[in-house]
Order: sequence, then structure tokens, then C-alpha cells
Amino acid sequence: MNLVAETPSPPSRAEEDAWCAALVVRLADGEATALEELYDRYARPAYSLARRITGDAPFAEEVVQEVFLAVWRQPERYRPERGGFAGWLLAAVHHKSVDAVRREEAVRRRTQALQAVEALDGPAVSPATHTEDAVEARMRGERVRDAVSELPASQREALTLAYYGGYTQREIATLTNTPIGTVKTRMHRAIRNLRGALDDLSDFSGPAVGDPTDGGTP
Amino acid sequence: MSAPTAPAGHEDYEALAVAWAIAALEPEEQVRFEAHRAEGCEICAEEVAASLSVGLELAYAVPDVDPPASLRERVLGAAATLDAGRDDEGPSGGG
Repeated sequence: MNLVAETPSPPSRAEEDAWCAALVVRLADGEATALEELYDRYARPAYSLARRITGDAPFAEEVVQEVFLAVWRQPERYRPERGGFAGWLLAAVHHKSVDAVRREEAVRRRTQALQAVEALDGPAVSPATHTEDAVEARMRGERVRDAVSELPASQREALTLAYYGGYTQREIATLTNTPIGTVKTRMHRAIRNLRGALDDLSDFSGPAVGDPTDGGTP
Repeated sequence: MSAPTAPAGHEDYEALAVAWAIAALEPEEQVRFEAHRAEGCEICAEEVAASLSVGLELAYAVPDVDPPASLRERVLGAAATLDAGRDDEGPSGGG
């Protein structure tokens, strides 16, 4: 046994990764309790994200159900070497939510997306029922929102319309009356700036996350 | 930043990688990028992973909403139903 005397960084991310790795093995074995545990841990952030993007409870429920069932059916689609499980799962939720939104009417989406630009207020999601995790998640959410709010307005707009609004770059160009090339540059810079800002908070950035779609559509 | 040297004209793919990770590409661009990525481009894999990390942070920044309790039952119930056919197609043997 090798006990490190003082560990300065919070252990929760590493613990989470270890927990998820064990869980994926159990899922692959078809253990129903593994799915229950997974659901209890991530249903809330998954639902919160789906709800934010789709703006619609039935859609959000459908997305969450689809993603958890996909994990249950094919847990091997998660590739640990590509990064953490939470990132992979929530990216899948994001992609499915965006897909759902794109099937929607344009008018409804427009209202939704314009709200999304300003809607980053309110408490951050809690990834788990554990109090310390909830506190960490809240702090984490605040840091992200701070970082987003420090982006130049044009970058913030492009990023939030895409991520929370589900718009493609071309649609954002039309919506904001901006050349497509400018939109692409803004989005690229927004992500790079956030990467920089969040890397500074390296305890929170964790490992790079994996691929939500395994290279194709989920 | 410390990525392997990119071939000329590769910047276009890096921008696509970022947009792909947050699902902001048009369908035809998505197809183009995924074809490139399937060739095993390491630079783009890195770009995608880093962008997905940012996406995860954005996911955690939304207001908290509790899912309805009925959803849990539906998901677990549907999983139990699927379970019946699982053995037929599930991965078998050692890994």
C-alpha cells in the first residue's frame, strides 16, 4: 500500500473516473444495478442540459431515455482511452438534444436560442446527490459561466447560439447577419479562449473527454 | 499548441473539429470532417478531445432541473425489456 501523505488536488474527478470505469465493466456484463447507479448519478445533469437546449420537458425526457438506453445496449461504444465517461455521456446528450431541436420549427427555436444566450444564470447542475459533489459542481458551473462571460460578445454569441441553441454555423451567420467565415473564426476562438481559461483551473478541467458518437451518428 | 506539425491547408479541418465537437456543422461538413477523422488524424483527434472538454464544462453550466421520477422508471423498465434480446447481439468472449 502506498499512501501519499498530502494530496493537494480534490480527489473527486479521479474518483469519478475510477467509479465510471468500474461501472462500464458492470454494464458490459449486463448488470441492471449498474444502469440504476449510472442513472442516479447523471440523470440530473443530463436532463438539465437536454431541457436547456430543447426547452421542452417531453423532448428532454426522450433524449435522456435514448442516451441511457444506448449506453445500456452498447456500453462498449465508450472508449476510456479517449477520456472521461461524464464528458462522453453529456456530449451524447448534447448531440441528441441538438438533433431534436433541429427537427423543430424555426420560429420556436429562434425564441429559444435567443433566450439561451442570456440564460446562463441560475444554479449549476449537481452531478450527484453527494453534497460535496454538488458544491463542486456549483463552483465549477460558476467558473465556466465566468469564463464565458469574459469572452468578447461576438464570440460568446456564436458559441451560445451553437451550444445551447443548437444552431449550425451557417444558421448563426444568417441569424446574426454575419459572414460565415467570421462565425467560424469566432467559434474557433471562443473554444480556444475557454480552453485557455479552463486550463488555468486545471483541477477542474480533468482529462480530455471521449467521443460521443464513436465517429458517426449516435 | 504542442500538436504534431499539421500539413498545409489543415487549419480548415481544425476549425471543423471544433465545430463538430459542439455539433455546429452542416450535415455535409459533418460528413467531410468525419471522413477525415476516420483516417486517424491525430491533430484533429486532439482538437476534438479538447473541444469536447470545453463542451463538458458548458454542460455543467446550465441551470439545474430535476428529471421527473417517472423517467427513471421508464428508462429502467425499457432497459429490462431490451435485456431479453441482449444476449443475441452482445459482445461475447474475452476482451
